Amino acid sequence: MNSTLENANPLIYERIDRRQFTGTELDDEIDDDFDPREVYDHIRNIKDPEHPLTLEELNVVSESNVHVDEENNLIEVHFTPTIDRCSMATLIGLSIKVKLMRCLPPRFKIDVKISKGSHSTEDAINKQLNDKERVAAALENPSLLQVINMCLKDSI
Amino acid sequence: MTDTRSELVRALNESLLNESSLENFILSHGTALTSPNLDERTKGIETLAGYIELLSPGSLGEIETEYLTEYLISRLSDHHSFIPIIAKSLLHLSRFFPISNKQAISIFTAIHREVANQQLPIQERFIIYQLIGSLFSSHLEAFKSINNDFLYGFIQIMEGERDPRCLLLCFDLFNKVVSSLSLGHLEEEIFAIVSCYFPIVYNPTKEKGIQITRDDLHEALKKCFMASSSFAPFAYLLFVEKLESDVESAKLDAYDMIISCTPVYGKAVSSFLGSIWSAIRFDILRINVNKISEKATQAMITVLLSIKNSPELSDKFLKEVLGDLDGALNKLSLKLFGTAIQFLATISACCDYYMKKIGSHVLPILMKNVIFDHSSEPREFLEGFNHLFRSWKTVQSNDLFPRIPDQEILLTHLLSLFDSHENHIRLIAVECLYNFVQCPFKWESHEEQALAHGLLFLTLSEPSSSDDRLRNKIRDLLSEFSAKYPDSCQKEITQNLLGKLPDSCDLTNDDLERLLRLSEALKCCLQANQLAEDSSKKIANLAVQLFYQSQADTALVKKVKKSFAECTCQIINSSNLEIFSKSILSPILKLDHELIDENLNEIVSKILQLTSSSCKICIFENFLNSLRTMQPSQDSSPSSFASSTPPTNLSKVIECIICNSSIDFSFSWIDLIQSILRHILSPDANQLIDSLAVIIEVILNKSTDQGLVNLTDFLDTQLNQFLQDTATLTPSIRIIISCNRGLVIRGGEFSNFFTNQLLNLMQNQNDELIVSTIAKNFVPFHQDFNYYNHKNGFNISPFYTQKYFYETCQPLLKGYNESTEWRKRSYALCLLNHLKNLPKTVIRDEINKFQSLTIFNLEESNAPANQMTALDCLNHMVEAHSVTLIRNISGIINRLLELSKASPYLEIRRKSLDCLTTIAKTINEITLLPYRPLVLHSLKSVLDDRKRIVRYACTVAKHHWTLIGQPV
Repeated sequence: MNSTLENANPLIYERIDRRQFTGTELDDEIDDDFDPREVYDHIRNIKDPEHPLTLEELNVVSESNVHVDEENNLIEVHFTPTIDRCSMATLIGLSIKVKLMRCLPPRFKIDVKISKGSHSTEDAINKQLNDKERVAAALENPSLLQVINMCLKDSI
Repeated sequence: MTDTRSELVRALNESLLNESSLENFILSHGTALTSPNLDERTKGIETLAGYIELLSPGSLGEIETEYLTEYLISRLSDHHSFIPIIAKSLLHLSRFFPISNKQAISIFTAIHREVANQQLPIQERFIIYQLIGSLFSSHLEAFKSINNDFLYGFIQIMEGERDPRCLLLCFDLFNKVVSSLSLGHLEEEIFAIVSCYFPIVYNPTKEKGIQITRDDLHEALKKCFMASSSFAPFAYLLFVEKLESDVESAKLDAYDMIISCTPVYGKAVSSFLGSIWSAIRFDILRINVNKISEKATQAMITVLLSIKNSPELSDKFLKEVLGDLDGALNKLSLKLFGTAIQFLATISACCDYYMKKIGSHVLPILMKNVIFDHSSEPREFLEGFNHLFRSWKTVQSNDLFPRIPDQEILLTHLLSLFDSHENHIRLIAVECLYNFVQCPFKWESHEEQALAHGLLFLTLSEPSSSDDRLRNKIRDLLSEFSAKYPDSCQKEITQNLLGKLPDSCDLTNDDLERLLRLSEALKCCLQANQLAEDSSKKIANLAVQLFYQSQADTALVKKVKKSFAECTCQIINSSNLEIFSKSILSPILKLDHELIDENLNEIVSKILQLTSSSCKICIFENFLNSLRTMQPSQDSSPSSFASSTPPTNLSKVIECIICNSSIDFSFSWIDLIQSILRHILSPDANQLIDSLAVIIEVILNKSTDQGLVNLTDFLDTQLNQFLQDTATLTPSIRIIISCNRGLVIRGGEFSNFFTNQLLNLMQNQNDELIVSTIAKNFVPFHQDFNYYNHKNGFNISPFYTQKYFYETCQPLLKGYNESTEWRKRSYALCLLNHLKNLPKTVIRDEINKFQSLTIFNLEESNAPANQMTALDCLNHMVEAHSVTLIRNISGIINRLLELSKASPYLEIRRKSLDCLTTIAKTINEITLLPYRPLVLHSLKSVLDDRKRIVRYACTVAKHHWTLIGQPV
């Protein structure tokens, strides 16, 4: 990792409150569908590899950029790096992907993509992130896994 | 050395044991005292010093004291090693024996001539100062007779002292000397011995214990400077010199000295006005206000006050000051306007004389810029008014400056600024008026009226989107206006606001906005005005309607409710107590009882919080009496204001009041409980029982030990009778449970009064429902009941959970071991409820005993309550001491996984996942690693649970289990 920060002074956004469970969510008889907020809650507290800030605080991820299609078992997450030349974008994307793989039932297909026009090497990153084999290979690399785990450690 | 000491002690003991007189002592040790041999003499003098120290006060006559003193004085010139011993003995003699004036002078002269004080060690110098201090206090007249000789001697003895402890003593002595003796031509010399210490430079080392600080020395030195007004010419020179210094502490000390000394030195300051002002001007005209500029301003005030009685001098000086600041006041580009006006505002507030002088000079400049010339930057000048008014409001008497020039024009202009589109201008205008109103100026009635109209307009037109700061400032201004001009406020504002209140409140947002504005404004006006009964009722009625009509509790609705509750409280507190019962609670009592629960607690608790205690008691007694006199049957004739009250409503209101207020006043509680118990037999007992049980519980919890003696006996007799009857069995058991809860949480002598009764019922009752109800409620925990709160007068014993556990653990375990099926489960539930609430330090010792019971209850699929409580206990145990659970960890994990997947209850699934999380967080990785694959595999299916709350819990558990053994 570089010793100097690529974006030393990022804009910091407000955090949303913890989700409160009310009404039908506490009724055992009624099923709760997966919703974007639920998926967003899994990823919003992931730490940025460069800053002691979460992806939510840096506005890298937002609830509106999470799409859930329960019928087709599809979840799509778009993330936006703070700067368009961010070299950490792949690592951030990988962290999101791993976190969702760990937190969502295996029936879902998870697509993590970089928001359109937000990065100079957008296509390459998207390709890497959605290649199952590359992701599996990355997770077999102990040092990379350690970095990802560091980002995910306090994401609950 | 040791030999000498022991000899000395022996000699002293002998002398004292033989009750030897001084004469005998001298006869026996005379040779040593006059021996030509130095060692012998030293021994003799030490023995004599020891002897003197042991003498009780008054045991020596004048002649004996005189001889002793003479001898000791003569020894001072003998050898330098005798000085400390002799000084100590002389100090003792001077404190406890009659030394003559002549001898006092001799002692001082001998010290002055024979002792090179500054060459002595610190301890010995300290004794010398103590000796001089003691002699000076007791022989003042003698020293006055040698006035100048004493002063010379004192100067020489003290000169060059550097030890802080000695200095404190010296400064104190200096004060006494200067205030008692005439300084004559020695003023400067005397002043010089203390002036050399100014400013104090002292950095104490960081040692433990009480230390002398720089401030202590500075304060002591300040008193020396203040000791005589004749020091003024030398002192001011010194202060001015230090004011020019670049060292911040020196400047601060110099200002501090000026602030303290100027009132003592009086007009002497007149010769130094120019130089002091130069230094002050330099320090105050700084853009950043700091400690120095604050001190400089204070110093200026002191200087001005000291020359106030010389009009010519003060006018001349003020002219110079104002002339120097004219540039800063007129040229905004210098950026010094704010600091200059703030300075002038502060100094002008020191008395009405300067208020008039400075005000007459500054106000025309501000008026010219704000009103007549329409400056492009009105904000700066408005701030100027603000500074002046803010400072002037503290001026107590104002005979010289009753009205400011063009007061009416200024008022009209400030009111016209309310129309400004710029929020900050409106903000400053309101703030300016707020301070203006508080100033001691006289207002014409039409001015009061104009301001009242302006305020009314501002209150009613204030948009909802307006700045919170502006809104608060308007409220403050209104409160201030109503306090200062209550009649105008009542006539012009309050009546108008009341007229605009609707008779009933609709809940459209616009109405609510308007209601909020009105109630907030009324609240301010009510602080000084008392309302007519009709108006009070109207407000209270609206408050009640609001609390009961609003369905959606949005932030706005909450604000309106709060505001109306506060208004009502003000009415109640201003002695209109009837409003509470007639207009607030009576309508509540007539409502449908289902509506009561939702809002009653909110309104009653809010009102009780803000109501004064004497009012609370009156309110309380009214309602308690109503309940006491209410008959259980429908055709009864209850008391006056609760005549048409359904009993359920009344009991709920009383429950609410009793929970939110202390009951430390005398009332016939037994009568009340008797009345409550009569209702058990009534047809609506089922609806009433919950409230009535809580009322009794709260009475027991809040009563004194003395009161409890009769209450418990009475309840015991009554409830035992009810237990015999099958019709009243269930309600009476519910009351016993409540009583037990109130007393256990209260702690003390009566804490387990009803516990044995509950244990007996659990053992002997054959109704499963009754036993399980008792089991569920057997272990009370105050945090499960939101009304338990120290603030509301509840008694909550700090260790009641442990105490109750140890008191009931044995009978519960016995019952558990001896019973079967549902009764066994009930005992288990009691024990688990105990464990759940025990502090971690206590549960640690009990884990071994209760581990199997907890794990066994996890299997009780027929008893979900037991399963849930067992999961709570397990979680608690893992957190408290996970090591003890390791031998069973495999079984525990398997059981938890099974529960998280298969239990039909979401709470059980969630709690088992929480347990898995706690296990992953607390037990070491090596132990858990073998179970990791199994857990992760099993949790995969739970991730797809149909309840979101379970999925969230599963995510957390899986996250922690995933990280076990992973590189982090």
